[in-house]
Amino acid sequence: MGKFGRCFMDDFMRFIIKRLGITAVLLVIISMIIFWICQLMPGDAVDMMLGGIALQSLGETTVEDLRKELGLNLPVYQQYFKWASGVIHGDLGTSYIMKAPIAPLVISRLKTSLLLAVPASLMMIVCGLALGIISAVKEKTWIDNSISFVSLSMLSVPAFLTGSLFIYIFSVKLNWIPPAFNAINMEGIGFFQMMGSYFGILIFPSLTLGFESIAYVNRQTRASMIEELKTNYVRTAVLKGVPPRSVVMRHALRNGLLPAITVIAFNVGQIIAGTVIIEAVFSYPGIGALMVDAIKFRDVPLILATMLIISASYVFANLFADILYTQLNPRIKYA
Amino acid sequence: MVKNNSAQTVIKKIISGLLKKNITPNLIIGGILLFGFVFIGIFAPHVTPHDADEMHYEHLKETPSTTFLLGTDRYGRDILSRVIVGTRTTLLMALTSTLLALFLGVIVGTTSSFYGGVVDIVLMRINDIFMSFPTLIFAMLVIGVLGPSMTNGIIAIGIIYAPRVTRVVRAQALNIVHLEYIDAAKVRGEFSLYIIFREMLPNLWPTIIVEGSIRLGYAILLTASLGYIGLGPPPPTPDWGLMAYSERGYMFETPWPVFAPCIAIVIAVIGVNLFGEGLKDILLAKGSRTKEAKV
Repeated sequence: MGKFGRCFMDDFMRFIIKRLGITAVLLVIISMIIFWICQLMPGDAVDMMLGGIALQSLGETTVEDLRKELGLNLPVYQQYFKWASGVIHGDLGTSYIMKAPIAPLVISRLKTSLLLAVPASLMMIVCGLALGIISAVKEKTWIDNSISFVSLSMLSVPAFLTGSLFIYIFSVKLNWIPPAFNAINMEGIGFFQMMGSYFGILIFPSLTLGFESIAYVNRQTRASMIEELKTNYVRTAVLKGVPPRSVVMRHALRNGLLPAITVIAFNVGQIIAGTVIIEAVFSYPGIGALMVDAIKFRDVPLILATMLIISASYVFANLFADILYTQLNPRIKYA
Repeated sequence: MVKNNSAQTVIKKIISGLLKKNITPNLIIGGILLFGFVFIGIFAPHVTPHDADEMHYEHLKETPSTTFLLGTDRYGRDILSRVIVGTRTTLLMALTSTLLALFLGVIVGTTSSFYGGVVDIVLMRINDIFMSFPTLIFAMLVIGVLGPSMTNGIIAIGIIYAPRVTRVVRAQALNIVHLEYIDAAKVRGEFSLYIIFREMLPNLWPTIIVEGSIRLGYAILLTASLGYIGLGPPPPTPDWGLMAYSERGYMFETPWPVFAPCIAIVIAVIGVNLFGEGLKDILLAKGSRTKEAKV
């Protein structure tokens, strides 16, 4: 490795470390905000666990003991440190409603959600980029116009309408998929069986989840590709007889991809957050549904855990995009 | 290069744009849809064919007929009437929360760009932190704490969209904050508040209005989504998202209770988006944005 290479690695490592540091600080602040907002909730854990009638019959001393046992008599910052050190050690606390440790529950729910989110993200990247490239190459033809029209209307449609339409067509009319997904048992199923059932049923919620993001990626790719296709270097490549496919895929796409990457990363975060709606539509037992339940039952430790996980994945998606962006764009100096 | 765009001038600009036939089909169609919905929302109880909450027990889960134009739901309530009354809650929530977001965003954005330095850095870092929450998730958290109701929904959506408005307003304000007339006002010894509101704000109106129309579209979708997961107004209220959710179990019998409110949402969002595009064409004439960015 020459001098240049070493320099580059140093810069790159410094950049990564700095980015990771910023992300860590951001996560701590986010967790503080979430924790603090949850403290504003009227009533505390003991009220929620016991309910009004039990509170009266138990008397003040027992209730106070229980508060002490749960650490609710401590000041807020001490409660936060207690919770945060638990989180760092992988202990997300105990759910008030389910009376069970949260970490295993959240992890299994996260797995079922990723079964939707990962394919949805892949679909977004492949379909979004492909449609964007096609409409940029065929700019101002009927193909481009119809793709643009469809993607614009995709942005005006709420995700639950797409989901309800899928359920109506494929469940009510064609009877291909169950109307509610909470009855499907995913545990103990082999990989191939899982893939089989995936393509049979889970493809619909995934597609719904990725729908809006496909439109965003498509629009950004189209815009940046149209710009790239007008540049001098593309014209040079065309004039010197490079095959058109190669001009688009090897010359223009490399630069046109950069703005799309930011949009893709942003939308990976949106997809993770979007599971909340999709899981409500399909009655799918994922982390989004768990969060909605936690909020409805005012189960503070569960709200904290699910919020933290969803926000963290959102932050990590953006971190990943940042790193990828600087890696792919040599013009950016590591600042 | 920067014209004096006070609030009256903006209105004059819109009117003269309309007179000069500077209107795109987008603006007309969007305007008709948007103001149609506003009109329906205002006069909702008077234009419904039936009472929105009245239960017709002999007509449960019916498909559209001449009496019930969009059919009835599982309690025998007229869906068309409920969609019409639902316009009220959704539009009121979306409009008010957009205004709240604009209000907060404009204040923070202008302050941040005017003072610059440490103030700018601190405010923008706080802004970044709030932007690193997904919108729906943050709104859910706020509503979860305050309890589901219309007011709390408005507060939640307003707070979560404010940082996004701030970003746009600040970017535009940074273009004008270094201009001579701002310096002149400083030299004259005007108060900061005067400079921000009387000198800077008038030149920001076009940006703010266009950003507001974009936010309104998102706010309608977010309002509907919150209603759908049961964090909007409580059940008897005819809310579009809530209607679609609570009737989804009866799709085997009739799909109308689910799709009618959804279609209303789509039409409203398309209307707002088209109207926003039309306003953009009038207010931010082509190239004016890039031209101002170079100032």
